[in-house]
Amino acid sequence: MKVIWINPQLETEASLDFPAADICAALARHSVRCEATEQIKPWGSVGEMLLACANEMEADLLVMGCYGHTRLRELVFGGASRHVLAHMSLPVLMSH
Amino acid sequence: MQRLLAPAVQLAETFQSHLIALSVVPPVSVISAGPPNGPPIVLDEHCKACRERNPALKSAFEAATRGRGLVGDWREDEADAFGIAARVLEYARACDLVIASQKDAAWPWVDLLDVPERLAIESGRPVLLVPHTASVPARVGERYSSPGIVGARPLGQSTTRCLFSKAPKQ
Repeated sequence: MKVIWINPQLETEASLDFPAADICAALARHSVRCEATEQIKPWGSVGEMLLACANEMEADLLVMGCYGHTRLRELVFGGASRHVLAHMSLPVLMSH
Repeated sequence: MQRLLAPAVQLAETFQSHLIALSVVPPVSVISAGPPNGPPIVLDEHCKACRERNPALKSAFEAATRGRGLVGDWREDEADAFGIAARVLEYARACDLVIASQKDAAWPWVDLLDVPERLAIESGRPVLLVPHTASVPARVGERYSSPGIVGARPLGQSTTRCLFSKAPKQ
């Protein structure tokens, strides 16, 4: 299992907190082997990058929380959830 | 149908679950395009087409679940004026996991009938969305030797809950 944290900030402003590591630590307590990685978002949308990462690592399931923004904001400005829903090429497990 | 059935049956068998298949007939369309003060036009051909398709869908579901050691339950319902999504949501809220198909972008009414998006937002249940074009692995983690799951942002409570529900039990 790979946990990906897509950092929306610029590389030079990379934050010190690393949420993916917290998730990995919690999963490890349940004997689940996982690996946390951080992706700085240099291009495109977050959704685009997620699908690219999943495709690159030949993942067979994408697990994601969805609609962190309001539905209206996603509708107007776009968002990771809408992008993944529209363009996914692998099964996606979503939870709001 | 088969793209949805395969992972659904596999999951239900693995977790010895009760698998419910739901077919919802859309509501009739009422158009007031007739003469002034005339009766509205009621279109129900699409409803009839859905009802006629149900026996074949039910047969496919029963064939897929027969002898698999799980309880399969076929249900048919009719949507009211609130639409298909509202009816599907009523059933979804009573389930542990909802399995749905990605919306078909080629379908002309795709923006009007956005069941997957409403399920993800309004059901309050985890939703497994099956893509239209790609094949689904028979069992997560077996298709490749490489890691099978990507956890994605936002890395909040919902993602964590999702990850734990999908993590292999060891």
